[in-house]
Amino acid sequence: MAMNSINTNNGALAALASLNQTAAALQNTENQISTGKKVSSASDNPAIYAISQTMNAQISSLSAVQDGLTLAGQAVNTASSAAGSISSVLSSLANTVTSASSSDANLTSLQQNVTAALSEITAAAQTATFNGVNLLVGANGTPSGTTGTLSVAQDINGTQYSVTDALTQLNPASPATNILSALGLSGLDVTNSATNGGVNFSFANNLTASSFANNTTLTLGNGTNSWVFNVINGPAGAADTTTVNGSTQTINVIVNNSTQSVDQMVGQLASAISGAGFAVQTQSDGSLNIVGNGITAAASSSSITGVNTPTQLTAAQTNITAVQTAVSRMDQVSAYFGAASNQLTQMGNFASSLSTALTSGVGALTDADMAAESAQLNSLQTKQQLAIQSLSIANSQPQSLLTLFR
Amino acid sequence: MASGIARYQMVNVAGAPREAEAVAFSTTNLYLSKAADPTSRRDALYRNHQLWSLLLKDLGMRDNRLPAELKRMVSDLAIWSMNYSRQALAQPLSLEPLIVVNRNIIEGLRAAPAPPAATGSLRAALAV
Repeated sequence: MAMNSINTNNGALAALASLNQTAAALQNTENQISTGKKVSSASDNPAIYAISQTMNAQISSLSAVQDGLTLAGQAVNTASSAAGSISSVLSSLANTVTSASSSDANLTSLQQNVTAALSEITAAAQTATFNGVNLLVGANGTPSGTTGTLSVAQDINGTQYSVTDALTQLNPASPATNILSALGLSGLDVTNSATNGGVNFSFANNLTASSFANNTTLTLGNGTNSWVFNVINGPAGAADTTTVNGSTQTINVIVNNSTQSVDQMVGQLASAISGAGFAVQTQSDGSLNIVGNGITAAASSSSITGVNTPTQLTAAQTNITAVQTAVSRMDQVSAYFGAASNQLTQMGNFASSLSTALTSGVGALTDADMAAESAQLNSLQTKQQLAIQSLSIANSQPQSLLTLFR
Repeated sequence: MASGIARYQMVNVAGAPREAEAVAFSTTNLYLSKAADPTSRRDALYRNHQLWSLLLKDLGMRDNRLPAELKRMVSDLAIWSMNYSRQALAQPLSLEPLIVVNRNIIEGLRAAPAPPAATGSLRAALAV
């Protein structure tokens, strides 16, 4: 059962709207809080001190912001831990599929490792739920009814900060419904010596910038469906477009063959192929391994001068490419959550600093940047003073106190 | 935690506000001290954050009647505890500092007031 729902903290947001004026005033008076300095006496900054003296109930809005940010931080940390576990499993899986490529490998036994690894990955992703929010697989998490939407008020203006779930991060246009599909590992099978759908495109010396002429193409096919990557010379930064016509998807890849280098354009082509849902790995000889959707060399080709006729990958090469791609995809997801976690912590610290400034009825705005030792000393002194009275939460907010026990 | 609610409900909130608050802190400490795996650690840190956040909110209310000195000390503690809880979410910090601070609050709330001095007339009566 959700404690305070992150996404429906409307009461806090409404209260936050009233703080806009305060925010403007604080900024106008060279807000020392935003530069990290604490105001330690009225003489340091009389304007802030004066404002703080009138901010009574508004401190509760900031507490609500902090609660929301902390909840959000926990959802992100839950996803981050799970992503870390999945990355560890993927490392082992990479070893397993590499072992499967040697001629004396016991494929049946290795496939048992593969199956176990895939189950672990699925379980880790599905159970990475905190308070109904699963930032790995969104609505496909457990227990049922999870959501991948996380949006929280980050400041006193109610500005929303959103965190995207991994499935959406990995395929923004059309997210997969489970982590194995998103990572390109569904059906990974080292015992299947039939080609699993992978080709290699290598490049010849006559690949030059002018090879990337308008309407030259690189086509991937599996005999039923085709993916046509169509080179178009256009303005820098223009987005690639995709159109679907029956069993053919055409992806326009916008390049500029007079300003971009060959490497840059090959890189862009590789990104477009990856964005279309394939696993792409550049090999040490500069060629591209492309895996996914059962593609075959026979149904793939390129009209770009200098791009050689594709060759079919062995099953082992296909599997290794797929796992390598999964590893880098998961690394991207971890990096994203790491950044989100840092931002949430910073936002929480800012809200906390502002909170310090606005604490009302306090004789002076003190430096609350205490070390643990100072906190303990403070708490001993507080203990003395509490000998004769309560903190008053029980009297003023008995229901709130009760919610702490749910 | 059913036992937490049960304990809380056993306390006469209106008649014994200090005990109700002590129970809130001691239950939070129970969660903090039992936080072995990442999930229960996160949960415990959030509960601690929520408790101090509630207290800080209350201190900001116009009608909060705590003496100024106590209000200042408790605000500082609240902000410290909330910050530390948040940092402990992402780093493997010890939870002991949080527990110790909470424990001092509990002991303060549960301390019996000093007994009143014997009245002059009683002393006189005993001297007879």
